[in-house]
Amino acid sequence: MDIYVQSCGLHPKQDYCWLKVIQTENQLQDNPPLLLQVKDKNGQAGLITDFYYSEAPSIVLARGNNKSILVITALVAADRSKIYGRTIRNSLAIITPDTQLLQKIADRASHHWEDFTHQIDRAVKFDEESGFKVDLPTIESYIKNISPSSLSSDNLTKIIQVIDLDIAEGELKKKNQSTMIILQVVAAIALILIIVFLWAKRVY
Amino acid sequence: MRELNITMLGARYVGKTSFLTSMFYEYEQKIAKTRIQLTPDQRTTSILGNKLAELKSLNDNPQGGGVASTEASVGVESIRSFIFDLGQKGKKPSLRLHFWDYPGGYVTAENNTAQQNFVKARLQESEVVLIAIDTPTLMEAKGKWHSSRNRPLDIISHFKRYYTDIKSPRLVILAPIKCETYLQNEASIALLLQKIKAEYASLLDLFSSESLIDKIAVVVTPVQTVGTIFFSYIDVVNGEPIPRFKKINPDAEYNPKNNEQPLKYLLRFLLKQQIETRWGFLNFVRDWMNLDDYLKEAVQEFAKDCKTSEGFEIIQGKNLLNI
Repeated sequence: MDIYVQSCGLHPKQDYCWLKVIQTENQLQDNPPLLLQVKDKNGQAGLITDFYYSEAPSIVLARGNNKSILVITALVAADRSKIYGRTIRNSLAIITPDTQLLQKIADRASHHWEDFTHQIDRAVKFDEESGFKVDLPTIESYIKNISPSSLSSDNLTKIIQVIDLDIAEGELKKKNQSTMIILQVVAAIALILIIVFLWAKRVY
Repeated sequence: MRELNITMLGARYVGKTSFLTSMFYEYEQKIAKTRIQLTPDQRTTSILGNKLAELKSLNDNPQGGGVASTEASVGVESIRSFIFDLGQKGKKPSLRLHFWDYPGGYVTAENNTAQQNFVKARLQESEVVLIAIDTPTLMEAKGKWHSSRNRPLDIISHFKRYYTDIKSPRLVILAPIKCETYLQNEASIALLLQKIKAEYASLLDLFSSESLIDKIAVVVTPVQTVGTIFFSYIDVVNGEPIPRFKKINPDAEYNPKNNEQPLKYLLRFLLKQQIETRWGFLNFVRDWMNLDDYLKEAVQEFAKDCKTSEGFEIIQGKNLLNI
């Protein structure tokens, strides 16, 4: 399961960016694959990002054969907004083959938006160096312990846009394939350089 | 349909999006009466509508945050412009205006080539650039926080790098925003103008250089984004200045002022260029058939309404704005 969080820091240079949260201490700027071709239930095609506006509360579940993507946007960071003097938002993206888990998380968020917002916010703190940091265990344990949603919903549910999409065949694979091709080219160049180096060492 | 670009330029948190939102709010209130019609597409209407609600909430709660910072869904590739079609009322639009608003962090990006290239493309392709300036940090504490908040050196360096070999006319609007406190009397207005000219002296110097002076019009348009909230003090959090605001009259309602002015200048400039470049050397035919009368009329009307006092000033390039 890949978890990405988007938020921002205090400094003018620490604008909104996505962090891929591998561990609490290992967080690199990296965008989740949201520029994939998808179709909605009416057959309308486009990129995932064409179907929502990230600054408004949205829950987007894009289902694929191999992996699915859940994006939840505009989760207001209450305490950090007070400090910043302006609303700060967190967004969450999760990629996993376990579509059922994503559905469960999406249900939870759509019925209990306020609580969901708070739970994600607990895991995100300002960081002087990188702008913000994410506490991975807090998010993981929250996700793991989500129980099937009860019927009662909080008041915010009605303003959230919930979108269900299907990822076009081969789209996620294509991204992986292109990464593999780049890696193969880099490995081949490195191998050639090593051979040339060894050959030159022998000759001279 | 001819497409034109207008870009916002300003560091993070100076209020570019609030400015854009107020500009179109006041357009509806004050410019919509002319023969010209500006029609936003559905996405633009919906997004700016939400932003307006956020901005109005600032009137009820000045410390409440107002318009949230702009973010890209997923990097530069996901940024879309705000689209407005422009034309004569009741007729098919003849111009499409793309307003580019993007995260202010791109202006200061050091190690992100994609973001740097994005700013470069916007500056090189845009007929109009709106530089948003956070006025409280420019004016307060002897301008101590101006550099870190408005990042004038980054702004100036972008122009120095990308405004070379300019072929077509451009309009640069310096728009000090959140100006409520500084437009109260003649002395404070004069001080504001003086500060802008001093802090952006090297930029103005670049624009008035031999190779650019005939191609660039420069205007200062101070705007009041909310109209009812006034600067209170600068809070410093983790070394970063955070201006705080207060409402003086608790019953006052959201009442932005002069935000339509930059739009009037912008339309005046674009329509004038449109009249001059439409059919090239065959323009006399258009003149003969009076095809551009509604455009000429609009430019003249805008020229009449564009303020040139109370802090407003055309610094150079009057000829690029008048027919």
